Amino acid sequence: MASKVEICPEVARMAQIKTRSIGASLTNELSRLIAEESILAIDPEVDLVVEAANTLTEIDALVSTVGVNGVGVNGREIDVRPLCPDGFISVPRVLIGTPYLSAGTLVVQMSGHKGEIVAHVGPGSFLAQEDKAGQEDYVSIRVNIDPAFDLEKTLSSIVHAPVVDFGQNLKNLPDKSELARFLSNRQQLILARQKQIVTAIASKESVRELFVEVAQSTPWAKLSQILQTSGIWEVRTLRFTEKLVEKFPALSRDRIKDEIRKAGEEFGGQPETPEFRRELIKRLTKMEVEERLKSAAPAKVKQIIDAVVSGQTAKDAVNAIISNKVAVALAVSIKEQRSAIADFCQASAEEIGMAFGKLALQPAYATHSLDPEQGVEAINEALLLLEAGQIAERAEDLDIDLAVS
Amino acid sequence: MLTSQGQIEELLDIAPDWRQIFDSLSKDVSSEQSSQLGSQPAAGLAAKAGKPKSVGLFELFERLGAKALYKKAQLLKEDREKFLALVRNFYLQPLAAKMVSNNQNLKRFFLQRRVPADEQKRHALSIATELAEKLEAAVRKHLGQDAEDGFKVLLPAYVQRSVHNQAIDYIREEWDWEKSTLQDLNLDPEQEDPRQNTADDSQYMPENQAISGEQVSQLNQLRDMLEKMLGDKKNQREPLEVVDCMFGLGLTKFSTAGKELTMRECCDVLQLPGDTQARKIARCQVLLDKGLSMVREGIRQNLPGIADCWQTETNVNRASRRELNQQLGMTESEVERLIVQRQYRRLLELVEKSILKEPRLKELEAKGAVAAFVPVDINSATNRDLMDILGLSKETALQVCQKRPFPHLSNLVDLKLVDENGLKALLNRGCVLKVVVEGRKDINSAPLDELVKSGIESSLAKRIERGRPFGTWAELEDYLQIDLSRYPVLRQNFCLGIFSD
Repeated sequence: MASKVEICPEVARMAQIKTRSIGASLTNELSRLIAEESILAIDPEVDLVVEAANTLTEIDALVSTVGVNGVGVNGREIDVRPLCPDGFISVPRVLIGTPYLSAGTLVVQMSGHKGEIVAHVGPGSFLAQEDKAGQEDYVSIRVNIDPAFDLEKTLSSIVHAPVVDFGQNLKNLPDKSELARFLSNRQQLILARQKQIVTAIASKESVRELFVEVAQSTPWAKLSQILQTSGIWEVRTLRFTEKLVEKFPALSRDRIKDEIRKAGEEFGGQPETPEFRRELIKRLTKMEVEERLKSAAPAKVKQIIDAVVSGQTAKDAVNAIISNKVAVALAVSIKEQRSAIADFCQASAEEIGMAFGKLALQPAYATHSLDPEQGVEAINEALLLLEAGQIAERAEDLDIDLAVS
Repeated sequence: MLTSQGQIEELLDIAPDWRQIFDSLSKDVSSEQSSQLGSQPAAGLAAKAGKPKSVGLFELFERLGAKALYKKAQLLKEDREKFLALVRNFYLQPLAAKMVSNNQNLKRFFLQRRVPADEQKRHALSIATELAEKLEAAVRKHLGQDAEDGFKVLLPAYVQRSVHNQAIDYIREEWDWEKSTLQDLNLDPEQEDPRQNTADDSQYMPENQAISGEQVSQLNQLRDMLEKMLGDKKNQREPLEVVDCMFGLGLTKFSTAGKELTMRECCDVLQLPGDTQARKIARCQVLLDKGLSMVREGIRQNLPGIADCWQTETNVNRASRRELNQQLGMTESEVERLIVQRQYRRLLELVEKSILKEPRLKELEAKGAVAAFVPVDINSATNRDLMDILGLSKETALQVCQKRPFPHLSNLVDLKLVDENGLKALLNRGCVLKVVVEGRKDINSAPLDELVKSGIESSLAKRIERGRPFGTWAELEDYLQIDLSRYPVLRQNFCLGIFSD
């Protein structure tokens, strides 16, 4: 049996970055690296040279599409699989019967980043098991570990075995479009054809070159990255929604989330960034005001919010919009009387009276107006816009809060 | 290294008995060439006929083999030095150079750091040259001891092992250097930023990943599409559920957004059938492949342009001076102006803010320039980012680094690091604050001794330290190849970026 070897953390981490980027299995890759390291540790006199060049495993698209995972030794590619704790190894069915698997499989027993090659399974074992495995895409076989397993001897016999030309019987070679289909959705092709394509890639250099060319122009390798980013964007929207839900009680979680998603399309996927925050606060404030103050004129509400967001106080902003300054002064006074921030309600006669007293105005204020009804309306409008402005003021304070996570 | 006729003659003068072997090798090569040319079509024949391949010292040394070379060196007395120099320069060095340039770990290391091809060649050559000298010294040592098995040093498998070890040493040294450099908080703006050749992993950490508006638009549509697919009874649900769990999309009750499950966890959560764990995992892999195929099909029909948004790109808000210069071809003055006015929401702002003229913008776009606003965490950003992205002066950046962590952004004003307007300016340039959670340290930055003190065994702690930063617990588990639930101490004592729970 080969001695136990260990992969250094840097190599393991690089392997992880690599497998993540192409959407392949890290466990497979680590088992392959352990196999490579074990072969390198064999006495140099046995003359085994590990070379990745010209192996199928060097083609990333084949690693991610069909799961090739081999190590090149003296020009022969030998498949490598990690042994599961229950004593099985699994090989993609599409590889069985292809030249890729002709040198069999080296079985690696792993524990973290340490491991050893414990067995070699000949290609015949998979062929025998294939029919029994039903329609599963992977064929699993139980591996019996022989403590007397001799890696040197096994590898020597593999590299000295005659090479069979699998390519000579291939007639119908895949073209560009079929290779693209194989890459993007090989399940559309029958299994026998998939195997023929793997055989063609393995034994015909022209097909291999064409496959590499197609793989480079097919962007599907990015799918894993896109899905990962999708998860990241979802977390960001959820976290931001949670932050905002309490601040905008009139809005449902779903509405807030929708607004964040929309803002992201405009400002990018970083909700903590200043323009994103400010625009989002503005939009949500407007929605909140509209929801809470249903009777307010939307154009004036927007005007108030814009003014407050750009630095004016709510009172100044309302003063700039409503020409009846006395009505605004009364509204401010009434607003000060109201301690809690409740949903908007119209000013009562008592509240108006108290405000007059506070401002030392004559209750005959209404007589200043041509129409007493209009005077009360002006107070109520000012009150309403003041309320909107104050909601916007409170939302303004959110800006710094939202920059903290 | 090419051999001149004079060098071949020099060797054959030292070892005249090898002339016969050289002649036979030359004969073999020329007959091989004629048979190859005979099988070429006429056009190829004419093209290849002009350059007959000559036999060099490397081919001759290869044909002779390690044992013959060593034996000859043992026999030589006066000419031994000359002979060993020829072996070093024309056998060991080219053999090592070939192996170094094919070394998978080195290739991966360079690729992940975007080292240009010519620089890779330079590194490979210097590693090979150093190695050839070491191997020559080893041969000399064996010759000095008159060791019988000294020839082993000249065997390709031995050279390969040495190349492998040398490559690992090189990677580890560079890795250490990167880690220590990233901690360097006192870089002058004029100094070349050493991070330009470091791996992208920290940039692609989930919390640091910049997503452009265009990408968000595609992601929103993708999510709507996936929700529809899951709701469509015509679709098989299980494969999509596996995709959901494996990528942490939070689309079904089985998954949580941002929490990528390992395949083993996925088998448990979805209760996938199987007699053994291996079969369950194999089933999970099949379902994942199927699910991804379904998603691809959906994308092909509904979002054909999505992949275009994920091409390699250079974000002008984050790129180093060198990246701006080398990857985008910006002049030094353009770079300076760009850095001063960071950050940008659209590339067009570069023209609006007079950083460059409109025709240049097209050139930049063609070279993959994008403008995606990036948040900069005042509690963890490097000194260089505080200066280059947030625009802090060198002194203030240094003080910020010394006085952090800050519980709130207003502390910057309280501590007189910036005034109110300065804080506003910082916020406008993308300054954010990620609060350092009391009691739980970030596993990506906790010192090694704290990891050990918390009860993690030392070898595991070292592996964590050397592999970080990690984006998710699933990523850490996958990297360590262990079941993290057996190490509750990790999650009890440490957090992991914004995705920690």
